[in-house]
Amino acid sequence: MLALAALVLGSEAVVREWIQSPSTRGFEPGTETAQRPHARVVQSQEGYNVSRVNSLGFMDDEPRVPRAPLRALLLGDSYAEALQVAREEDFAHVAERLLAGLEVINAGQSASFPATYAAELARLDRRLTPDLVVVQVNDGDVRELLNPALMAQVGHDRQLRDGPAQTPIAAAGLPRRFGRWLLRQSALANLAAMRFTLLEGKERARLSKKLGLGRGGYVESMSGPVAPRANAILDSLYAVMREVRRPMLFVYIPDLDYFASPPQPRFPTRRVFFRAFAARNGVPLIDPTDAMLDEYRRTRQPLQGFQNTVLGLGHLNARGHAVVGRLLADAIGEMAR
Amino acid sequence: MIFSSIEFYALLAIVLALVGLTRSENTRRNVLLVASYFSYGWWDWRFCFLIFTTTTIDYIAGHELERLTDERKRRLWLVGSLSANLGMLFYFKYVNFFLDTLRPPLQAIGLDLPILNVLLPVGISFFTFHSMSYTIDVYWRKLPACRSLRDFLLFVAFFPQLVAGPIVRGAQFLPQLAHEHPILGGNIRRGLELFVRGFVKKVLFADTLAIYVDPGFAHPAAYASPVVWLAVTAYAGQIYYDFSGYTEMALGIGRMFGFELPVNFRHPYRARSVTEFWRRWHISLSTWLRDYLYIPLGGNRKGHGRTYVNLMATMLLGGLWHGASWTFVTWGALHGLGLVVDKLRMERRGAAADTPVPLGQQWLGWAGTFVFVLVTWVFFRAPDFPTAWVMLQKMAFVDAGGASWYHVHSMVVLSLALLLHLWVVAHGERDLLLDLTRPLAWVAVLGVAMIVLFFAPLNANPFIYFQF
Repeated sequence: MLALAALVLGSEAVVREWIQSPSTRGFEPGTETAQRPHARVVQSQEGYNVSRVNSLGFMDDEPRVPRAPLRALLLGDSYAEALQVAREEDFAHVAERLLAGLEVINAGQSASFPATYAAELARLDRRLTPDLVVVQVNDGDVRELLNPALMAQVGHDRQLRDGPAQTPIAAAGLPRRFGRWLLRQSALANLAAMRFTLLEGKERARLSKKLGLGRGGYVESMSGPVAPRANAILDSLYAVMREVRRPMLFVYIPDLDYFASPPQPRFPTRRVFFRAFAARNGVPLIDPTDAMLDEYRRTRQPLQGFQNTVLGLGHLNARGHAVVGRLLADAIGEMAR
Repeated sequence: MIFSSIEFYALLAIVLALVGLTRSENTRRNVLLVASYFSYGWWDWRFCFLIFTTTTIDYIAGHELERLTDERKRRLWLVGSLSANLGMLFYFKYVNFFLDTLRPPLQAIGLDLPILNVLLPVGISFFTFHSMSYTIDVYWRKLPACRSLRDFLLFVAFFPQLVAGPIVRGAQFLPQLAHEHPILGGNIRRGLELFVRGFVKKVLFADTLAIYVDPGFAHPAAYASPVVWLAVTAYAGQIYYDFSGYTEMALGIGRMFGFELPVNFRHPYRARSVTEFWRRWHISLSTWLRDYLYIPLGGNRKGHGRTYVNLMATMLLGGLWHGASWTFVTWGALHGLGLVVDKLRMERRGAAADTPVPLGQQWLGWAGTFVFVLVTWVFFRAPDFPTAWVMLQKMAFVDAGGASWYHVHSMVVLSLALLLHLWVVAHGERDLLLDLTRPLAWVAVLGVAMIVLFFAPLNANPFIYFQF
């Protein structure tokens, strides 16, 4: 029993310190998106990052006091949240270093997509009063825009946030409440839960395919042409974002195939989709595809992937963030002029 | 079914329960037979008819080989049985290979060959060799014919070893059927120990190394030379842990049911010569090739020249057994050359062959053998010759530049593998054993289970040797 206790406690300490922090999500009553302010976050599944959530619930430094001359609000997903690299290496911080007087409030949250940004922007705008808004998009967003279940979930979450004080956490049964409490207290439990969820998802998909049960719900192919209705969906979400009447800039993060001959975007139809959106709506779009490919040709080091994942796949590494940050600084500088 | 999949555990639990609850050996064997065919049919139910048909042919052939005294008729039955097995193997595994090889020169003279859409039955290379060993041994009168079709079906299709070995001979398995095999606690415990060890080798070691190996072999030109060297070394680890892990899981499951399956690996990377390597690597295959191919060809009994030819022929076919591709044949040919060189070296040493070898020379022998095996793995794993050529150039530091990538988990596994290797060397080749009678062993199992859950890749990679 002593050995067992030592194993569990020792594992908890090691995991908490170096591998994975307890869950920091769902702190604010009525939401599942905000993070617990000032929580220490350790992420080691892809790249490595140890940092703290700020007082706003974002993976960012505290807002500057006094306020910076030029404040940009960054909305994005895991590419913007950038838990794979050290904070000072993410493209928001790179842009801040390159453009004097710029402060980027990084409100990036993993698993977000344009519908989330449209739902959150008005609230964040009232709270932070930015001078301009930067919206980060990527190839995966197209699939999410076309997923009715995800779109409905965003609407549901917004109702919870803006609705009466009854919280889903308080309304949940005891086992669920205990489970959430455990995930927030124990790093070991949180890591185990993440891995079980991943394993369960993979096994379910494998067995469903094997037994010919098929997958319920919507699945859109990443490699095929973009469904035309995606244009209307993104245009309508942009119309909602425009209601805050701030200058706006989009940043597109491509997924590149570095080992193709020649190296090229993995999903060229998505790149075309976002460029067409920008042209149609007259909104500036930063497309770092060519700059990233040039950098790869120069250094032969992929701008995605890490030493603990597969190089060339996944999120931007420090090299990738450096390229995007430089382009972001140039674009904001141009807009500010 | 893959041994590391959920459905396999469900099947194993059900079979263990059913076999454990019954007192009749007859019923136990029926359950094992049904489970074996179910497990095999999980891949594709059509394969069950194939294996049933060839097994029945060999069962009948075995009876006739024992019954008949006329050597000509006996030889006909043997040839018939071998033709059925090898013919099936050729059609399902090699016909497209030979058609693809002949197509370009024949097209050049205006002849078009068909493209056949042939599905490769899982484990065909293994169960044909199981079966052929039986008919050949009965022909040589080394083994009595099996009296029970059910028992013979069970021997060929026994689910622990059917799809990826070890290659179990009739002489190793059938005599065990003379005894009863109730479920015993000691067998369960020992089987579990072997299974857990094999599971960790496969899921933690082999599958982790696969993450580093696959990109390295897919795009070697993109990576720096040290990365390519490490990818090849990682492959050496991956194939060993994958195959030996699977074998231990198979041995463990067999042991749970009271059956002893042959050991297939004895620390092959300790070998100090190619000859020694083949006494330690895939032992069931190398001994099968020795007994049923090399020795019948004449072995070393017909002079030096013929010995070298026999060695090359055996290894060429050994390479081809692994896969229908010229890269496998090249791998086999290189090992054949290695064996020939070893033979020449031993013949040159002559009477001095029996004297102890100085330690420095032993280390040199080990290093040379290890590098030789690494280089030959390039041909084994590379999808084609151009890729193999690029890898060899990178390993020779031609265009040494490229992406620097040292996958942390793979480097940790390689380091652990090195430590385990040193442990084995220090302990006289004794394996690291798990003794589940000790309470602390269960804590260790829980610790390892946590490491596997937190760090092992979660992709259900099939075992490498499933493709053979």
